[in-house]
Amino acid sequence: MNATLPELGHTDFTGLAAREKLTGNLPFGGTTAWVFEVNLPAVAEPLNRLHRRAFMSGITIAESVQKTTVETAASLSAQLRQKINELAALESNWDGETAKPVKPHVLADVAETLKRLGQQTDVFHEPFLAPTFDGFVQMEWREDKRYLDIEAVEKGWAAIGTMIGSDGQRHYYTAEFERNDFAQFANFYQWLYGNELIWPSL
Amino acid sequence: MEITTRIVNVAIESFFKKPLLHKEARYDEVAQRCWEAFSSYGLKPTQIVVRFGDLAFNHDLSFMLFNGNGTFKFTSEKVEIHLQNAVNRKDYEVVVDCITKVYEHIPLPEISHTLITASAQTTAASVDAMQQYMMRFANPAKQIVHGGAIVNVLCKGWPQEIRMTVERSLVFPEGIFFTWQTTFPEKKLSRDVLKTLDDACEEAAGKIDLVFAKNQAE
Repeated sequence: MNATLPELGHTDFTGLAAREKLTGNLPFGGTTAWVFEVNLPAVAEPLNRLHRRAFMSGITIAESVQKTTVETAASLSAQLRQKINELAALESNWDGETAKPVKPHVLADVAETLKRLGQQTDVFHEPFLAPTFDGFVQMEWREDKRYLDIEAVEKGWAAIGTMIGSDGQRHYYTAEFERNDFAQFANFYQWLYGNELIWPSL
Repeated sequence: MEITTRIVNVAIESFFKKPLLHKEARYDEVAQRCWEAFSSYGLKPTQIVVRFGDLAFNHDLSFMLFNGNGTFKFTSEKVEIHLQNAVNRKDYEVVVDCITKVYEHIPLPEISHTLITASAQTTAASVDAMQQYMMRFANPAKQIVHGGAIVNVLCKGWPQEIRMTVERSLVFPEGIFFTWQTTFPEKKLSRDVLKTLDDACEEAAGKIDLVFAKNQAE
């Protein structure tokens, strides 16, 4: 050690240094840093075991996202919450062929978007949720004269609107927009209920 | 030799063409956009912290995600993203999504260049397999018992050199530790750029006869 440390209660190693250097700073009390340089042969193996245990027992990034999704879904209806939990639990080949499990970050965005939509609209109509074979999620709303499908895709959302005209003809509209563009998402939802007369991307 | 990825860390620094004074940093808008982009990952508004040092260049906005495995910092001269301990494909997809969200959704000034550093703990099929491979870098006659490699390579589709290091892992007995470093000029990072870089890093490993196993656990 370069410095004489006070008696330590315990030490938390919160992750691997990017280059595995066994030198660094130990912050104390948030204001003082002690430079340490450990005796590699003496501690390498215990440290390795510590690292490995941390990785094996710690929560992964995707698990952290799944945990947040569950928390977000808690503010949705029991039915939606159950559906989101079902989607999160899908495993590879859930369709009996080659379908991928739903990507955690996609499901997180779906849950968060529905939560915000529920908070910001007077009457929230719940969509039907369905997984896609490539690990994304589709949301479907059906009204008398208008249908709306919004699917999470690699680069954001893909929306398809269907409007049944007075002559019975179906008119189709499409649009793509950013995953974080909630305002546009809300515009499409408003279109479904006739509050937006024109397809929002036009 | 085939290897399996066990842990991946990614660090990205995008430097601005000119440093931002505090009044130019628009932290209110940046904070709002960060919350919009990352609330689905559990980011609470109060976790976004702006540190005001002075009116010139000493200031930053930062937040953490994933129990400290993700840190994001916007300073007067650069944006820094650190994501560590990705242990499977699902984690890696979240990592890519986080990086993409920063460049797609957060208002950033013009970028001069981006430094990208990634490291990976990988494992071979066995300790013997690892040792046999790594022997190519050792020289028992000169008592060099372990070695490694530093190579600068050009890869298909990636515009810059990639500096790659390979050495024995300190974490896994059968492990090999990689780092890759490269730069990306001017443009913002996108999902497509990161996919190209991912492929380039695999290609770089292939140049020293290390092949990443496909169909790794989801």
